[in-house]
Order: sequence, then structure tokens, then C-alpha cells
Amino acid sequence: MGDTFEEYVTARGAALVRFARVLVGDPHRAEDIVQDALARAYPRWNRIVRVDQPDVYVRRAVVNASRSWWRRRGSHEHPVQRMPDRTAPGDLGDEAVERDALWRQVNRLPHQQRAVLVLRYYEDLDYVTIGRILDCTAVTARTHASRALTTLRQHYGARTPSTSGRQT
Amino acid sequence: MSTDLEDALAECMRPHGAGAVDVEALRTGALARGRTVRRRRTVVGVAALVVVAAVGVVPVLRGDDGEPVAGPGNRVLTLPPADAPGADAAPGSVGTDPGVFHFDVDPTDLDATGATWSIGGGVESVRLWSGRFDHYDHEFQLARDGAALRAVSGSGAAAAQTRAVTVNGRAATARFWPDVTSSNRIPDVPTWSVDWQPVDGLFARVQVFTTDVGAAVAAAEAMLPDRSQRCVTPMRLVGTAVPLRVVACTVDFGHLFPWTLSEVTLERGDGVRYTVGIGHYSPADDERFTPNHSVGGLPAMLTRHEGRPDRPDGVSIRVPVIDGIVLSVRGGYRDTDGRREHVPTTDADILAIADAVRIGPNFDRPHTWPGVTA
Repeated sequence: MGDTFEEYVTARGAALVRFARVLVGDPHRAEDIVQDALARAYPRWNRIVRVDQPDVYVRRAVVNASRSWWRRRGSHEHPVQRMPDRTAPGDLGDEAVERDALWRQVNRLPHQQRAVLVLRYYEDLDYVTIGRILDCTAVTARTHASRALTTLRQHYGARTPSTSGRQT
Repeated sequence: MSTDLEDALAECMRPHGAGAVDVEALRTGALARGRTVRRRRTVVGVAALVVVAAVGVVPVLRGDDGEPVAGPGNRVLTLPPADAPGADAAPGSVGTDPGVFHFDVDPTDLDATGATWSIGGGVESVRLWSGRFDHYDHEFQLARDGAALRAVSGSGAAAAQTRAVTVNGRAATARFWPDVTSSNRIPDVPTWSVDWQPVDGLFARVQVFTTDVGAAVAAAEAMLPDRSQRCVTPMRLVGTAVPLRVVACTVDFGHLFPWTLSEVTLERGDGVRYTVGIGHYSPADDERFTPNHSVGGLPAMLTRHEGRPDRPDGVSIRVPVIDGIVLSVRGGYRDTDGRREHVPTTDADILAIADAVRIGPNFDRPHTWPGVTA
């Protein structure tokens, strides 16, 4: 990845938009948020490259910009209160229903918890990096994730690796 | 080691990120918008400096002076210290000056990423946000009149538990509500509040979203009544046609930006009030920006809200200043027992106040901003 703004966008633009799509849940808004985050970074790009990691900086801007959007959207939606009963593995239709239900539960989480989950489980980042993006410590980021998982488990049911539903 | 839930999370997110991305359009659009941002920043930044320097009300500060600066990666910003004693040494001063807080709280001890400081109605307060909720986690209030303290947000019922506790050795009362519904419609938030007198003649209340009374007491003990701070804004009013005095001040740090906004409430001699603010006002509250006036050479939108019960401030004007920062003037209204009542206001009234605002250039350095005076 080059140091110029154009090289960075060419190399990382698609990944940033995909990240924003998951975070925001709206593909059109996601592209607008990423474009805006990059535009705001452009005038200070040399400094960002020099003192910050561009990926951290731009992801932070995307997370911050997504917050107001997500809060507005959340006030209009009424997600399901509980997930449907879990069904036997292997039924693709039921798995899709279950996946959608889990996605709706993720959307119900407070923004910071949701952001941590997306950074951890979609972007596959460690908690130190997540903390840098969210401007908190790694411990705080891990705490957000833990609280989010606890909330989701109340609907999903506690499971361990040995009882994975995807085993055949 | 991942659990089934963690695997399921990764699975459920993946399809929502999928799909082609037009990187060339993204690059072209970002460059075009980025160049516009840079051009606006240069032009308006220079304009602000010229205005401020010409009027001479705000010193133009330059260079790295070592003061806290807003920026990515920084902790929640702090207010500048005031040249005044804290509440413990001057309890009679609390709530009397909209430009001075007579206490402090260390936000880092409480894991805060945002802080909303307010003075008004005889109450000095700060709300701290950690991001655990889309709502503040802690609220500290200090007043000379215990009846002026705000009730626990959204409680609406008697406490489920009451306990006698101590805060820094002084008797206190802790109350618990298991299911407060916050003002942001987050249901069932357990809340402890602690009431005590940190100094004879002063009343303090801290409200904490927690089930742990110990955490609430620890938060109460984090209040520092031996310090004082200034309420500051990156603007000042110069030469208003009608005398106005400042009766309330708010500074909001954190949340979406290192500094979110500063607001002052101004009052005319007849009790009519106006709110003047500058900062990152929520786009959620935005109507489509359609300029119909000009303020200081910048496009402005004046809107009349008569007949809207949700907008008792009557008339508002918005002036985008630079890089998402907006100057907002709203009014007039009367504040009666905490309720705003609209007072007929002319466009000229609002425009005159907006025209009197002088904006400082250092939006990222609150320690360089002028203080608020009554």
C-alpha cells in the first residue's frame, strides 16, 4: 500500500466500504460515510500517514459517522424481542432465518458494542487495535464485546465449541 | 478459541458486507469532496481570523502552547481552570456564575469518553458518557438549593431501595430504581442515585447507571469540590442592540467529536431568552439547509417554528461555519418552572444576535477560548 491518498483509497477503499456496510446496515449510506471520512482525511493526509495509521484513523471516522446514522435508524425500527427457536443444523432455510434473527439482535445493541463486534468478528481485529479505533483501552473494548455477547446469548443460548451447530 | 455464537456472528455479518464496490467512484468522489473541504477550511479559516483580529475580542493564539487539543486519539477534553475558589472554599458561589464550575470530576477514573458540562438555574452539573449505553452513565449535580437538583432521569416512581451510606465521611442517602427508562428510550436501566452534602450549605446528587451501590458511592467520591473551571465557548457576542446577560452555559466534549458544542443562554431585561450555540449539531435534527439570509458573509437559514409544540424556541437561524461546525441562534422564549414558552420574535431580533457573534479560530483548543460572563 502506497503512502499517497489515491494509492490508499485504491488499495483499501473496497474493504472500508464493506466494513461500513456491516456497521451501518445500509449499503448506500455506507459508501457515503466512507467517502465523507476519506474526504475529511484528505486535507491532513500527510499528518495521518506520519503520526497515525490511516486504517485506524479512517475506521475511527467511519465508526463516529455511523453512530448518528445508526441512532436515527434505531429509533424507527422495532426489532424482534426474541429469536425464534433454534432448529436442527443443515436446514439452509432455517439457518438463514436464524442468521437474520441474530443480525437483528446485533442491531439492537448499543452502538459501541455493535462497533466492537463488527471490528472483532467481521474485520478480525485484535482488541488493542479495536481500542485504538474506538479511542478506548483494549480492556474496555473487550468489556464491550463481553457485554454484547452476554446480551446475545440470552437470546441465542449459551454454547461451547464442542456443541457447535455446524458440526455434522 | 471461538464459540458457536462467535462463529454465528461472523457468519451473519459476512453477507451484509458483500457485493461489488466501485473503488474508482469512491476515489474520485473522496478526492473531489476532500479538495472542497480543504478549500473551505482555508477560506473560512482565514475569514474567521480576519474577523476576530479586526474586532480584537479574541486573541489569535498560535503555535503549540501545550494546552489540551482536541484530536483523534485524545481522551475526553477538559475545561480550563478558573481563577476562583472551589465549592468547598466558597459554597455561596455555587450556581451563581454561568461562567464558573465550582467542582471537577476526573473522567478517566470513570472510563468516560464524553462529558457534558452545564450551569443554569442555580445548578452546576456534568454528565459523563462511556459508550456503554447510548446515554450518559453518570450525572453529577451541585447546588445551594437541594430542591433545584434534577430528579433521577425517568424514574417517575418511588425508589425500590433506600440505604444510608457515607461519601468521603459525610452522611449520604443512596436510592435505587431497578428499571429507569432513560430519556433516550433505553428501557430498564438500573440506577443508583446518591444524595449528600459535600460541604455544609451545598447539596450534591450523583446518578449512576449501575446495580452496584458501591460503584455509585465511588462515583460520588470522585467529585472534587476543591477545584473550579471555566465554562468556555469558541465565540463571543459583541455590541448587541439590546443588553443581554448570560444565564446558562453548556459545553459538550466527546461523543462523535472531541468537542461537540458550546451553548449559552442569553436573557433580555424582560426575561425573554435566546440560546446561542456553536458546534456539531446533529444532522438528525437538520432540516434541509436552504439559505435565505446571510450572517457575516456566510449563507444562513432562518426558520420560524410557530405552531410547533416541539419547538417552543420560536425562531432559529443556522449558519454553517466550517467543516461541519454550525452557529445556531434560537429564541425567544420564557423559561417558566423549567418549561419553555414561546415569545413572539421577529427575524430581525434573531439576526441581530447572530450578527453580533464573533467566532474564534481555535475550535480544537478549549483552553484558548474566552470565558463566559454574566
